[in-house]
Amino acid sequence: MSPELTTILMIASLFILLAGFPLAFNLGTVGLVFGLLTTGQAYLYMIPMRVVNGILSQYIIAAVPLFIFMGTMMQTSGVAERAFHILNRWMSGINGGLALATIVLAMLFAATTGVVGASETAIGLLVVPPMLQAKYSKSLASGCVCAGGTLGILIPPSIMLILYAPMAGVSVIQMFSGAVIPGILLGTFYIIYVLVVTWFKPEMGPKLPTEEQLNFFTKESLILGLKYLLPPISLIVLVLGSIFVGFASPTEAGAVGSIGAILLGLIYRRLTWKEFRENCFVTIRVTSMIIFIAVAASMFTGAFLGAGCGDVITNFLKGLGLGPWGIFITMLLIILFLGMFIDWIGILMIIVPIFSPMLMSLGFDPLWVGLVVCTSLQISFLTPPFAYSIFYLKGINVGLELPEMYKGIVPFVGLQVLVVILIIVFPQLCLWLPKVLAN
Amino acid sequence: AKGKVIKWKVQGFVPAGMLYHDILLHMADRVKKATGGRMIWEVYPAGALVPPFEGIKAVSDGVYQVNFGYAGQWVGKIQVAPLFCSVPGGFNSIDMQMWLEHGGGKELHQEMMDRYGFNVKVLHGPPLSMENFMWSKKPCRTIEDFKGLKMRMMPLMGDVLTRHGMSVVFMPGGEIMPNLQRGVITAAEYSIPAFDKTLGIWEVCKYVMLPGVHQPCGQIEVLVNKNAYKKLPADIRDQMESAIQASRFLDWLWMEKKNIDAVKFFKEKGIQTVVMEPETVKTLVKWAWEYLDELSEKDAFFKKVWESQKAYGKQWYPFFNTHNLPH
Amino acid sequence: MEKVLRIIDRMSEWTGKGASYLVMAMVLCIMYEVVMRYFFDRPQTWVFDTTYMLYGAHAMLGAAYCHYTKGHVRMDLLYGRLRPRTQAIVDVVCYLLLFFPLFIVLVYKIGGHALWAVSYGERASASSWRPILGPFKLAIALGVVLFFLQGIADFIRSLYVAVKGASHES
Ligand code: NA
Ligand code: NA
Repeated sequence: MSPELTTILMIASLFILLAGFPLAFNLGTVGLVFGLLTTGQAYLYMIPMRVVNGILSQYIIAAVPLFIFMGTMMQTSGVAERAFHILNRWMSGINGGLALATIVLAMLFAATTGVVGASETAIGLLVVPPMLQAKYSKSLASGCVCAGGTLGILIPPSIMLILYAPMAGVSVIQMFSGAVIPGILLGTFYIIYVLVVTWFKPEMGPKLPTEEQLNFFTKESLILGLKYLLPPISLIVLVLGSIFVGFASPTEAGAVGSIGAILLGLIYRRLTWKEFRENCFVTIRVTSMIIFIAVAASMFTGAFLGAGCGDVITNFLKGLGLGPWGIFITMLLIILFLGMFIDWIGILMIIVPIFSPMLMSLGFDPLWVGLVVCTSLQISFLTPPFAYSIFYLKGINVGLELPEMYKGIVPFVGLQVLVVILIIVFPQLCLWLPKVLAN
Repeated sequence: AKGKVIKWKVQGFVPAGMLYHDILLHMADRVKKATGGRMIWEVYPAGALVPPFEGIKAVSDGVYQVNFGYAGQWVGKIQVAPLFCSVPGGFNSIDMQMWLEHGGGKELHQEMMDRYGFNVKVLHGPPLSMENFMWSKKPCRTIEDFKGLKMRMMPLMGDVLTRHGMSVVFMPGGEIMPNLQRGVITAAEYSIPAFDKTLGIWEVCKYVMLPGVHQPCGQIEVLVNKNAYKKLPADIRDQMESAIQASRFLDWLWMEKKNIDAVKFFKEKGIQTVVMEPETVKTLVKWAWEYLDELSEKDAFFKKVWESQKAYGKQWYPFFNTHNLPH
Repeated sequence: MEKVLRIIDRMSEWTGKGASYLVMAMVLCIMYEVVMRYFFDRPQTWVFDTTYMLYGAHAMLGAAYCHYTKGHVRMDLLYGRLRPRTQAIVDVVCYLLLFFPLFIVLVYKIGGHALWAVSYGERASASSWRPILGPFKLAIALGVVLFFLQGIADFIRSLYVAVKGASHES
């Protein structure tokens, strides 16, 4: 079988995914079939090496379960309720106050967890009922929770950045520091959007009754703010600070943060033995799900690259005469398109080994490429039909329906695209902080 | 059949675009030319097919046909393997070539592979000359100076330093730079000047220590799957081996030229070269030899290789040292 | 039959739940190393290898449990709208085409790889500790075998629904 034909058939066979069988099994089997067809026995020997000595033996990826664990611990610690309580009282005097508090809370939470699930579920359960009670627009409520929750995968710590870095040969630490500004930028744009839209349409996010309001500039406000916000902020400073200052590697910071989150749960008397066990169980299930997709995707890319399909793609794109930028943009569009249908881990694990060498040879900065790719990839959480963030929100069953959710995420997807464009046009947005921290 | 092109997959040990990958590309090019295009090496960067530390098993199992790397990578599978790449306190690149060709080295290298059950034919690529001992943020001339450092050092010499109370940390190559910048480590061993230049380590560390006691030579090892090797038509096999030998020689010199340029470049950037005191160098060499002697006591084949190197050194050094001018 | 399936379920569940505490073992090992490094200036050489071995074992020993709880991501846009029996038929076909070939190979190759590591005495290469890798690789192989068994159990259940039109619960 020629490499060209293999390339076409392997890409085409990804559509088996639509049958609804678990993604990992499909990727693994497609890899296996084409691996055997193109290289025979040799492919079988390749499997344990790529899987056991590759994916499952990487110190850096060991950070994945740790940041998932930390996130689940944060979820049960009761920190979110307390933080939301004070944020809400500060902002309830303005239109869309609840939505603004949601976004700020989501940004805080994003900095304590590596995934989207734990934080979005916690936030959704917390904020949606009061928003519905206050007669908020259901689509605005859905949009804020989905987009805010999605920040968890971009704002460090992030398992997406952890999985990306070793594949592309860039430093996780630099990926983490580079993602800070794009993450904050997204959060800020969401806030501006809410302010603008509720200014013109106050009925989308009405103010709350005055008795709940709390003037920001009072002594009471300061004390409550410290009491409720200091714990999560300290944890963020501890985890991200220890990574950026050089106290700990990302893997170590995951352990430090887990201890911190456990302590918070104990201090607030929320963490029971039962909760602890349940968090361990959730952590292993989510970890296994993610890592097994990585394992299967590695079987896929092993067969794909081994059959010479990487060169086929490279030559094809170079042959189009688009120039380096054309190729780069094409790649991003492919990521956005795949993001509609496939899980982000699958895309990451397939796309990076194929595209990364080509983009390096075209002279792009690997760190910047990584950050643009990861920022683009987080859009996949919101783009239907396969949109994780929407599924999570639907999963917690708080009285929102799918059509409202799909409607609600549209402006936020627009803002995400805007941020991707901004960091492409102004690379300093993601390269400045890594550079500052390096000195 | 005549006219049929033999295509082999070859995996290197560094990412695409790095110096040692260029060497592999040169070698592949020479093989193609020498065989008149009848043999093509399809070159893959490190990890594209299997993780780098698995190269030996991958070639042995026939996952691909050639692994381009260095024997030190196999230390987890064969304890003595690093001696065929770099010997702390031992051979430099000329010594190593002499021992491999005339001191029984290449036969021992092949014997090792057979003894440990790997189905590979061993060939040799170019040697790398002495590495920089260490890049550091402060100058170190004596053993005492090293005590306060947190160093990144590869196995063998890393073991030696750990045994003598120094702080050695392990991390993947990609994490060296950020960790140096953030002070997790204060010194790092990496490679030859030409390679270190591309890493940008000189932006962080202003001092470079010499001589490279830990690695006076680095030998590139070319492992070929034995079945694939045996199946080659005799003429293609000879042409391929000649091309590898040409590469061994010409790319060695090419890298030395790059080293000269790199050292000049470092000088322009204000990098201070620190030559360690002779006593310190002697002590480090002594420690390394003690360690190698100790390992020899536990493993008969290790002993065979190490004794062979020592014995050849005794023949070779008297000639080498007298037949040179003190420049 | 149902009894055998139950046993498989329990094996996956108990192994997964048992292995789930490995994450805490990781946390404790790493904290020990961090404390020793900063407060006693004694970096530990064994934590690097221990960390990734705990992670790899954790991830794979939980895979069967994750499958048992239907935790592996599906693209269920169409699938989710099907009637239970149609879903079961799709599952049966998918198990035959996409699960069994894959897992027979995984069990065979990863199992073989683990046995080789044990019999060969393979050690890690990246740190000076250089621990034996056999137990770690056996744990991964065990995870794959359990995953395979859990898949067989689910296949039999789907087959039952596909044929009889209803699940046989007792
Ligand atoms: Na995060
Ligand atoms: Na999507």
